[in-house]
Parts: sequence; structure tokens; C-alpha cells
Amino acid sequence: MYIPYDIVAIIVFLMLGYGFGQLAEKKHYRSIKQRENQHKEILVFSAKTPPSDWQIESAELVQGSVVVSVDYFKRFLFSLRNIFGGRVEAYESLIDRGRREAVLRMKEQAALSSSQSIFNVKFETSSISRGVSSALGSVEVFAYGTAVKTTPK
Amino acid sequence: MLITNVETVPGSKIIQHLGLVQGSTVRAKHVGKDILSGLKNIVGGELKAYTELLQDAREEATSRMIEQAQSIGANAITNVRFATSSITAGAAELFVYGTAVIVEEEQN
Amino acid sequence: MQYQNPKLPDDINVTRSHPLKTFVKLLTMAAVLAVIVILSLNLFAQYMAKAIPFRFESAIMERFKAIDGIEKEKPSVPQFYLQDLADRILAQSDAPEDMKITVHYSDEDVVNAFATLGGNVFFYKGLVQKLKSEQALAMVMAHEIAHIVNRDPITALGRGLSTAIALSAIFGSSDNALIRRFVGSGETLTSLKYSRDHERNADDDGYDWINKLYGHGCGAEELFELFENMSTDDDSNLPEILTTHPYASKRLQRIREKQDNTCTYSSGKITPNPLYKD
Repeated sequence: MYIPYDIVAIIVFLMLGYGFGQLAEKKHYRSIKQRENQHKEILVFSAKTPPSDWQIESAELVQGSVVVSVDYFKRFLFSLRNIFGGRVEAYESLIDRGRREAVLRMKEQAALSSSQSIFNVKFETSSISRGVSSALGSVEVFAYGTAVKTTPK
Repeated sequence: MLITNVETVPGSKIIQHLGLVQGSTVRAKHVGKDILSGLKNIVGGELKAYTELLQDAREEATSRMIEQAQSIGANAITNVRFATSSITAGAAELFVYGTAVIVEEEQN
Repeated sequence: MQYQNPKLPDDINVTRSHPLKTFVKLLTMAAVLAVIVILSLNLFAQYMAKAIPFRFESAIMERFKAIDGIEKEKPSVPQFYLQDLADRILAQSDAPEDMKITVHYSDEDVVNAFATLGGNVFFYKGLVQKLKSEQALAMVMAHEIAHIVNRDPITALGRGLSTAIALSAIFGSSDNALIRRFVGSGETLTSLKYSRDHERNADDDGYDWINKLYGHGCGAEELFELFENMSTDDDSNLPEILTTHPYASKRLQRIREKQDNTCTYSSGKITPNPLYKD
């Protein structure tokens, strides 16, 4: 009996990638939502400065970053998508997760100095493929801003 | 929806800051465009197909940001910034973010 | 001025479509695209092969002669005999005037013969000495000449080249081994299918010509009997879909159906192959 072993191996990888990838994504989203709720008291703005009438006790640069990577299944989906073009659904959730995670980590840092708000928040996104331009490595999402601690009146 | 990339909405007064809103989308180019653009690369000039693709995606990202702002009752977005990053060869992320605010017209 | 962060809705920045649905959709589209490319390029290759004059083929082969060392070939008795056989068969075919067959004879024990560009047919000692009857040898020759007359070598070449270029332009950039593997397999399977079609047509045409040449088709079956005996041991576990030629048993059956039942050695219709060595 002739069995194309390489195809079988790839299909197994695809199924593993799909199963574990979906599982990991669900788990990550659950953790994101839970922590977003936990840190909802820290406010984030892209406005440059807090209003002039605030009593500011301290200000510091805070940052959060995360590197996320896609699973084998999503990578496969992308390479198919690349033939026809259009919206890459599989990567949108990846970036969404990365960005929310980066903001959360930034908030967690702000929480250490008990700051109540972060101003002038900016984002950087960069792909850090391992030297192979055609193969997707992973994406780094970086968020930074100025955390401001105000004196209670 | 008023959108600016300065601190304020000129002519209006900000009465409430509602925080960061963002919109993003990931788009892939297709092979046909690739081949044509490869030829175009020989002579240089604008790659119209890519310009359109990125512009389309940027519009979608913007409309997603507006959707977020609307959902929390904002009527303007200030301090808007755009970012384009290549996620992998052949795919680009278009990202736009700003601060959702509620403004009212200034009384003179 | 108030500062607050109301809770944002969750999934504005992601598309909530099921990944498996997208997967099936894209895979189907890719498969359809690959099929369209392969089939249309096959039609293109067939059309081009008819449009390219035979003398172009010969001219291309002339350039390769020096490299292949074909010119150094010493004329031999088997070669003269085979060349004469080729000319007699060619006369029975509907080949165009300018088509010429050049027979090459190689002293190796390989049981094989093949036709290539420019009307060149190669025979190996291994096969020539194994066939008892001249008719079986003529069947091999007629089969190879049919390939040339049908322009199979140049069609296969054109199809192979154009498909490889088109598919690598479309699918080559995708960084996934699986897609390349699938498309590659699809390409291989279709080219094998075309190859089997070519072989079947060459069998049919070849048989018709020796039928005309000898006035009967007897003896032709010996060739396929030989193939059938050879194929039972090693590659019998390969399904026909993965082979370049139809199964020898099917080819034998196809020939037997054409022959009438007066074909026996004792009928005197079959003449011995002078090159046969026991």
C-alpha cells in the first residue's frame, strides 16, 4: 500500500496546530478579560498631557511588550490567503491579543507606582522573523506612555 | 465623528475623555498583484495596486476605531495616529488609535 | 472635564469567522486554481507542439548531439537493421514529409527503448535481444515512432516547463511546504495521466502501422507479455495512477482484443528476430 508519509505528517501537524492553537487563544482571551477587569481603574489616553488643574504627585514612563506567534494551522491559512489576497482573519486575533496584552502589562507597571492614569500612549508593532523573510516568526507589540499619579484632593 | 490628530477638536470644547480607542486589520496582497508589481519594479514609479490595498485597509481600520468610539458614546476622536507594520512577507497590519472624547460646540 | 475609560466591546478588531470554514474555502479555491492552470497549460502545450515545425525540434537536438556523444556512435549491424525497420514503419504512418527517424543503438543490458526530441529513438541491447519475433521488435519501434509522430516528447516538455513556471509563480511564494507538496503532487499526477494517455495512443497507432506493414498484427503481444513478466516482482505495489505507463496486463489485453485468433507461431505469420539471443 502506498502512503504519502510527508502529507500525513503535515496533516497531523495541522490538526495539532489547530487544536492547541484554538485552546491557547481561548485561554489567553479569558486571562486578558479577567485582568482588564482587574485594572479597569487605571485609565489610558493618547492625549499628550493631563489637564493643568490636576495635582500631580509623580509621573514616570511605563511600558508593556509581548511577542506572540501563530500556530502551524494559522500559518497555513495565511499562505493560502496570500494567493488570493484580502483580510487575514487568522492574524487579526493574534494582533488583537498582542495589543491588549501589551496594554495590560503597561497598566500592571503603572499599578506598581499606584498611578491612576497613563497619558500619551503609543504603540509599536514589529515582526521579528528569524532572518527568513518568507517565514513568519513572530510579532512584537510594544505599548508605552506616561503614568501619572495624582494626589487625592 | 470628528477626527483630529491634535490634542483638541478646534472650535469645540472637550467635556469628557473616554480613553483609548483603536482599530486594526491585517491584509494580504495576492499573487497577481505581486507579479504585476514585480514587472513595475523594473521601471519604478507608483505601485497603484499596493497603494489601493493599503488605503482600503486603512479605511477599514479607521472605521473599526470609529465603531469602538461610537459604542462608548463618543462623538470625536483626538490625537489619532496611524501605524503600518509588516507582519510577515506579504501581509501588512494597518493600525490606527486615538482618544475618544465627547465634545460640545464652544459658546461664544 | 471628566476622565473615564468605559468598557469597549470585545470583538471589533477581529473577524469572527470560523477558521475551519475559511480553511475549506481557501483550500477549494487553491485547488480549483491549480486545476485550471494545469489543464489550460496542457491545452496550450498541445497547441504549441502542433504549431512548432518538426525541423525546429531537429535543430534543437543538433546542438545537443556534441554533448551527448551521439556523433561518436559507430554504425553497427543492429543499428542498420533497426534503422531499416524504422523507415519501413514510418512509411506506413501518416507522418509529415520532413519527419525523419534516427535510430540509436546502445550496447547496454537495459531492457528499454525510448523516443525523444528531433525524431531520435534509442534502443538498448537488453531489450532487442530479449524479443523472439521481428513483429514484437517492430511493435516497440512503431510505438516509439508513434510518440514522435504524435509529437509527445515536445508536448511533454512544453507542458512540463510551462506548468512548472506558472505554478511556482502562483504557489511558489507561499511559505508552506504543504501547499507546494499538494500542488506538486497534483502536477505529477496529471502529468502521469497525460503520459499514460500518450502511451495508450502510441500502442494503438503503433499496432495499426505494423498491421499495415505485415498485413497482420501477430507477434505484437510478445512485447507486452515480456513487460508483464518483468513487472510482477518489483513495482506491482504501485497503483496505476502513480505510473508513467498503463499496467502491462492492460496493454496486453488491449492488443489481444485487436488481434484475430489466427495468430499462433505455427501459422507462419511470425518471423524470427535476427538479433534475438537466448
